[in-house]
Amino acid sequence: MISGNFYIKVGQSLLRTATANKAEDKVAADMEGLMNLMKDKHFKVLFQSISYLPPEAAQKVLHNTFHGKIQELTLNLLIALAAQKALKYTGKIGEVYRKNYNEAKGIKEITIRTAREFSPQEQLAFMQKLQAKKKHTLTVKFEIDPSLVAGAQIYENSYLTDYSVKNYLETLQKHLTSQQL
Amino acid sequence: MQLNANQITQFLEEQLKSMDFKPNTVGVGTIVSIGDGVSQVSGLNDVKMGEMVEFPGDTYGMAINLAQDTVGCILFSQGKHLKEGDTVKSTGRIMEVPVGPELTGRVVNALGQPIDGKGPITSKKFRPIENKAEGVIYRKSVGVPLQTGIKAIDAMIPVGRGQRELIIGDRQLGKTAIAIDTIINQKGKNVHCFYVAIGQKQSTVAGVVRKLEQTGAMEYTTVVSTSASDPASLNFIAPYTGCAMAEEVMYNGEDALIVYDDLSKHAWAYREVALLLRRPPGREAYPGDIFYLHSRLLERASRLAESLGGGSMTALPIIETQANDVSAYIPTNVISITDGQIYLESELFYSGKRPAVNPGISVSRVGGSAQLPVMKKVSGRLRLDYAQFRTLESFAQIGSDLDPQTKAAIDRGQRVTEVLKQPQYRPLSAAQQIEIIYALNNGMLDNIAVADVQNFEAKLHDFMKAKYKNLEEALTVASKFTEELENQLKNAITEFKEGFKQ
Repeated sequence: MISGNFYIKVGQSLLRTATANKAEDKVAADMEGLMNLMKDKHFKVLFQSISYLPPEAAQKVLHNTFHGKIQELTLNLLIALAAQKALKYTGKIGEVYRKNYNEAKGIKEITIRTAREFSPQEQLAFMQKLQAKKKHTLTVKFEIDPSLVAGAQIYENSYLTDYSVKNYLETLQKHLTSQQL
Repeated sequence: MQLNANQITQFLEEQLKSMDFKPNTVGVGTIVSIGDGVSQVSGLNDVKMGEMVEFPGDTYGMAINLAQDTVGCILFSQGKHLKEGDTVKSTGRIMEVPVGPELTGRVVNALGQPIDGKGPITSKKFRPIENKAEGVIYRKSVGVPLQTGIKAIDAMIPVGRGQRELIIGDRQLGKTAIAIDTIINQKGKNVHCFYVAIGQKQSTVAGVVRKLEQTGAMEYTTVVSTSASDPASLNFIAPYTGCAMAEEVMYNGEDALIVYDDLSKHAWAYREVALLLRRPPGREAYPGDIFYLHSRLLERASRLAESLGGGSMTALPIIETQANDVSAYIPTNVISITDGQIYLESELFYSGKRPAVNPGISVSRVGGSAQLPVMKKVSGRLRLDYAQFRTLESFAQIGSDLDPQTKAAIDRGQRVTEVLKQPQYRPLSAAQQIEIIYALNNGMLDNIAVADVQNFEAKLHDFMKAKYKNLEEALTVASKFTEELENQLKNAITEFKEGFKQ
């Protein structure tokens, strides 16, 4: 039975093995590519359906599709996942791998969540300002969450700085409900 | 209270001005799995053991499993709206609850939030629910009595302030009744009381609160209630919440009494949480640290040294046994932690001897030194007489063939049994207890019919209250049972007895 945090353990273990084989950068590129593939709805369904093939058949399909295109280590992982009917976790394993890889390399991964979409100019300006403040190399990702109302949330690895109006209103609500009229 | 629009606007404006909003950086994580009141969270890098974590939708939890890749959290509500991938924030605060005088007279849940509909609790002070118990240097021996108002206990199993006395017995034998009577008896004695209901029916807790209100005991009592329908996590932290509140009283140099009703359900709740967190099960599926769960809680009850204010916290934990089996896992654990136990027996209860305390196997390991001097002198023979009677009780049915000595012991025992019977919610003052026990031990009840003993006692109390109020006070405060005091008491009882019509 696959436990809830299965993909975290696999992601961490993959990085350890890749580092031992001095292939962590190449596997990182593989995982990035696979994560992009998984974003495609049709590919995602196709990819998952491989899990339902008999193990030998699944191995053959994966081998024919990916051999020579990705690292042997990554391919072995996919074959093992298919045998466990767990190919759907590939995206999540990739995320865990990327997070741990970035931490190990000292790359700060920053996610900026805003209520509305930033224009490319605004994104560039934002990134430049952030990079000027940080000593590390940054990888910045922009996400949209209309529930923030306005302002922004900045996620830096496992830390959040919340400048959103939603946070302000929630703080205000807590403050008011703790007072007596 | 009626408010107009202007007042509300003014209030809101004031609050907006006074609110300090500074967006600071907090640690976050992502829910990996959630269900049955526990959640595994990835991230939360700097989270501490016992730290409060915030889930979306104003749901709170506590980190209690720090593993290499995930953090195991317990949730303080159902959390049905939560899903995998949701963000969890650390709060940087170890789980704490409001404490202080604002809580007196209130009914709160395990998080210290009011559930009595009497408005918010405006307490500004908080204490962590987990706290290290004071070391031996900062403690003082138990030396001040905590009167329960129950003759069977105050005379034979005395409890001192700062003691931990277990109340143990099967279901429906009056364990809670003893605890409630003790709380009621603290009126005017400057003892702050805390009643922690763990996993009980809400109707039962409502009944207890109503009784405490009717007797005026809510004026100095706080009730911490978690019901059977609450998540196991709340039942697990409830005793620690009550303990933190009582500790505040103790560290302020005052006396506190805390009742944990009951620790069997607490152990069940912890077992549930531990199994859900996949901690390895041990005996009876309890986790390995089940002893530590109760020992670290009960060790916090103490009498502090003068250098720390001299306050005290007396704990009355309750354990429910199954079929009178005190040798089960949890009962033996708690028996070994506490300073004695009050054992309630179903046989006594169903034969009408209530409170159904069995003095034979009940014990108070430290209370003796805290007993009132007069009571100590007066009640010396009581336990022996009662024990003799219990042994000879079966002969009582034969009657005529007994030798005079045995018959006398049985006669005395029957009167002892009658005197030890006491209705619920009617605790007696120390002086009243001394009067009747003195009369009993000195043979002054021997020529009173067994059926009339309770009537005799009731009228004696009325008589003494009306005529010898000063003597009653002297009996309570005297540091020694002098001959003069004894003569006064003897004469007063003799005077009453002469006028008593059976």
